[in-house]
Amino acid sequence: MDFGPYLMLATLEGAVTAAVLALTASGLALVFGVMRVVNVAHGEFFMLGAVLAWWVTHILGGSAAFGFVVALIVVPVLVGLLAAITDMTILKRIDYDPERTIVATIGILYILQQVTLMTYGPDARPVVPPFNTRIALPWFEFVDGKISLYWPWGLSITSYKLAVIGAAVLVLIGLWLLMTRSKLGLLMRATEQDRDMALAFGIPVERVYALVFGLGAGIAALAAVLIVPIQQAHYLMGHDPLLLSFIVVIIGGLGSLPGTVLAALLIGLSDGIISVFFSPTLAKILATLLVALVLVFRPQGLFGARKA
Amino acid sequence: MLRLEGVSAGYGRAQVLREVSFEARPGEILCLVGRNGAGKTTTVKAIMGLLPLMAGAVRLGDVLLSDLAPHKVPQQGIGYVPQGRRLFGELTVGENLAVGRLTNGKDASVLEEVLQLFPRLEERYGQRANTLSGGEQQMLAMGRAMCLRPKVLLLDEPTEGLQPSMIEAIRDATEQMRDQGVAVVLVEQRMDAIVALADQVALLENGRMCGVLSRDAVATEPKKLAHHLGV
Repeated sequence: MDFGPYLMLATLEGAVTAAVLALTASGLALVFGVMRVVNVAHGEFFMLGAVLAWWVTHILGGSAAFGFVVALIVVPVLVGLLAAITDMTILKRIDYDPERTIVATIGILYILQQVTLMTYGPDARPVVPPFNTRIALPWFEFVDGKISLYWPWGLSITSYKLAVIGAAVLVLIGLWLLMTRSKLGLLMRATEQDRDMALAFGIPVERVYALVFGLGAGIAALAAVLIVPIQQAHYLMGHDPLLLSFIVVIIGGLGSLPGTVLAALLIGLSDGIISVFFSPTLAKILATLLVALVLVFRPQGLFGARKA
Repeated sequence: MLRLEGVSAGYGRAQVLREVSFEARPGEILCLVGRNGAGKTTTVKAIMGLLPLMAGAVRLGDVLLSDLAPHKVPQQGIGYVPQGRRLFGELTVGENLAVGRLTNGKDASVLEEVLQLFPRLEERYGQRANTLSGGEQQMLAMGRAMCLRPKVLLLDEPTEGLQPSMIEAIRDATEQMRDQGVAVVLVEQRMDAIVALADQVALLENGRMCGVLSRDAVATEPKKLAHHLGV
């Protein structure tokens, strides 16, 4: 394949990674932004989403599309509820103290991981995509000074991958509308700005925290349900999304949702392109290097505001 | 009526207030006076439930405020204008006022009243709060608290660092609230404001109450007041 079509293929693969990463990292950014909690267990909520999606489709059996749609609706709610209960029973009790919440979420990480290993087992298991038509993509070339289209061998994408990108965009638009246009979003943003003043104006801050922690985990689980027909569910699959989400959140600016989405695009696309042309390891090395550079030269992140 | 009964409070193990008691009556302004570190802001925070009490009680009529969760205190009709304004800086003027109306959502007329009192806020309605001038920010802090339609209004140094015209606007708003029957607790350091506004003055020293002066006593004993202001 020529360089042009090859680059397009890599970009499309990167766009799928970016879409899922934007969702996962948005959950992490939301939790950090509103609660100032560094949720080290975020990747495990992602993993739970994938594993539960396998359970739901496995138990329901029958049509792959039906099982997948049920998983898409039920799993984020279940994981969100579990996270909200975790918040109320653990994080609230340690008063959301920044240091102790890090240790507590590390503990939650291992509990979720080991319980999954004990119940689901060590195998990676696939979920059948609801649809998976291969769509051939055209490329162009100049022939006698005119542009003509042709269909290079191997330049294609599946309809499911395009749907993942579309679904991620819709969820992110929904999240943005929730945060900026709804009463619930106003409560979250006011709590993010000043916890004591939020209390002084009647906002039940602890309920907002439980909701935000649940929402953040639910979004990660949703991202996992979307990706599991491509990646397979495994009890250790939470590590990479956690690392990449932290990279994205730091580059985007801690707690900034627009920054997180833009950084996810940057990291996801570069990860896809570098992985295809060179190696996935090099992509991770460069992303980590970028984080180091951002922390040294622009600690507030590329799109974050500098604190006065 | 807001009543503090032997309130002791502080930060962690450090006790600041020791058995503070006073009453703020509807339609009156009670000025809370004391030198820096006397415990004025701590008193206001204790009323709001933002600090746990070590002893004593805060009541509003028959309701024991100090038994309520902090977010339920404003639901009883306690409006708060904190020291340094503490607006939700990234939210717009409109959104800050909407937060003020959260406990009072069905009362649509209050927003109109606030915007009528502070027309500048209407001009800046869609602007982020942290881009306003100091005076405009103070108007917004007042407006946000007034949106609760409070029975009790706690004002912690509301004119600090403002130019004279803004000070006048804030004082007018304070008097208007008093005239509407609101019990106002005003933390103030300016002698002229205290003399002009106070119906009674509660004196604080090192976290303890050391007297309450009536309006007449303020006029006849200016030296006592000046001593507690440190002037």
